Amino acid sequence: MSSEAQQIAARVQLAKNDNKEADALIADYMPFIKSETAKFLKRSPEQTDDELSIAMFAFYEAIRNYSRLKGSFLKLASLQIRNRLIDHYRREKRNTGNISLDASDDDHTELIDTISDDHNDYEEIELREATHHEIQELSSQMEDFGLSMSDIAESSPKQNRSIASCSAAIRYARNNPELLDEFLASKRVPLAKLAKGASVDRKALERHRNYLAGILLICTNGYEILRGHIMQVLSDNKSGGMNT
Amino acid sequence: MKYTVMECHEGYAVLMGEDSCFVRAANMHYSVGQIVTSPIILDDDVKRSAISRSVFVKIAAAAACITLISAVGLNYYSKNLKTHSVLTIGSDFNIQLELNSKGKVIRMKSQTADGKDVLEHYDTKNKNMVGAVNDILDVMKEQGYITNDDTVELYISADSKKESESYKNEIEHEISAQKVNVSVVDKPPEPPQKRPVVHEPADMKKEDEKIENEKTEKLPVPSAPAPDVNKNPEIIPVPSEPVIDKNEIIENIPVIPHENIQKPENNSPQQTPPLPENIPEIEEIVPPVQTPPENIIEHERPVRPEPSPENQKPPYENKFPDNSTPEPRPHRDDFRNEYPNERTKE
Repeated sequence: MSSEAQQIAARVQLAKNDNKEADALIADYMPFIKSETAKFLKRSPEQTDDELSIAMFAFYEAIRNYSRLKGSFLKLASLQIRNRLIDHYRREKRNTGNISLDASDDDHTELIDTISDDHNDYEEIELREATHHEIQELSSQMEDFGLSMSDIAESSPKQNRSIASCSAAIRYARNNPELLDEFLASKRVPLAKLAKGASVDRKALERHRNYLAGILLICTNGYEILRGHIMQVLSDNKSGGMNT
Repeated sequence: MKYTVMECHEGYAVLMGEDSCFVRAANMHYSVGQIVTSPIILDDDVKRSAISRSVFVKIAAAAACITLISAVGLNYYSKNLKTHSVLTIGSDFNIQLELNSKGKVIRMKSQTADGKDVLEHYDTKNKNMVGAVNDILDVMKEQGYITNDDTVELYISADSKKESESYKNEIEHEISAQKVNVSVVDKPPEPPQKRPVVHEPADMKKEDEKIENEKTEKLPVPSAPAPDVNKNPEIIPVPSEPVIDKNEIIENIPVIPHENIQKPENNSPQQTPPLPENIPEIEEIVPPVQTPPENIIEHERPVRPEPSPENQKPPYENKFPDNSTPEPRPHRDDFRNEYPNERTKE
């Protein structure tokens, strides 16, 4: 293996656990990603193309899946980008018969302008800004707890059974505000009390400690919009939304 | 499901779903706080069922391996261990060689004592059919069961005619030293069974005599056996008297006209008409007297004892010694008068 390949492999190993390093690696290899996208599109991709975004995502996936046993990283990344673009092409092919809302008539009137829209754009923009503000506050509070959104996504439950266990623990904490106060004061998730109170296995909660910390932070005061987004989990109705 | 964009990176974005799960997805020019639907989610963050894909792949691989191994084993069994044809040597020895599809001897057995004796001195496992037959014939020759002049019968029973014909040709060409009579059969011949016990003629005669004696004892009158004329020509048969037919007698009776018949007088006894003189005399048929068999024992009837004066019943007592008539029975109307009914009251 050449020195250049060894450097890439070393950077990929670092990027696996460091999000900033991963972003830096992606930024450094943007010409490579664009060239792979151009091979598929048979044209130079633009910055607004979905294919380019998908190619960058495929490159990130290649970083996560890479191991030295798999050989050259760039070959793996090239294969991953190609597969993802093919998947995207097949998915989009199902919608080929549909008419785009941006299509214009002979009068140069776009189709989207002819459809009545009940949405209030101003309210939507305001809501998005308020959500953005809440998320920024949550991110800064998470930094105090040593967490990031990527860490929470990493430890988020994937199976329905573990999702149900975590939801039961979150509901129990929300019904017992003293546990949330204890969590904010000690900056540690009270796993034993949650497990005992929610009648779930403690080991099932330990695997998702970071995720529980993030959701418990959302359950504290100041994150009304985010709480409203996950209200079906926080409400006592257990049947809602777990099987989706 | 709707997702809220929580964080944006170069290659991906962190989204929070309505089920409070955080996922990483392709950043399709998202901005933080935006609500999106149907994102391209990272494979690691896709929800998995209780049986994960890796476990499913392992189970499928194990099932495929078991199927493969069983198929190979079944093929090996059917080719090497399954009996496809049976070669039987001699109906008396009944040595059966079970052959596989390749024509090799799998096992051999015999249900007769001679066959078992031959097989004790030889092991034909995993040998060719012709070689095994040659060796067995040699053993039989050594033990003196057969000689060079004897003809050995071989029976072949195979799954297909082609196989049986090929075996037959092979035996006829390869085993040329012996006199071999090969025949193709559907089923291998059964071993000779023990002969059934046959009664000797003397015993049969005794049994017949016994049966005849029993019959004669049962008959009421012992009848002498009729002399056989053919065997004893000295005995001359006595001509029996002619049997007179009843119709002939009736025809010979003379017919008397009705006018010539003399009416009998009133007081004179009734005269029978004179019989014709030519009527032959008929012997009176006397029924044979049946003598009771000697075996029957006649029991004497029990004699009823005469009643003693003590056991005698008292004589009938006359209830009406004075020959007086009994009182008449009361009529039902008399009862009605004594016990009047409610209807009669009214």
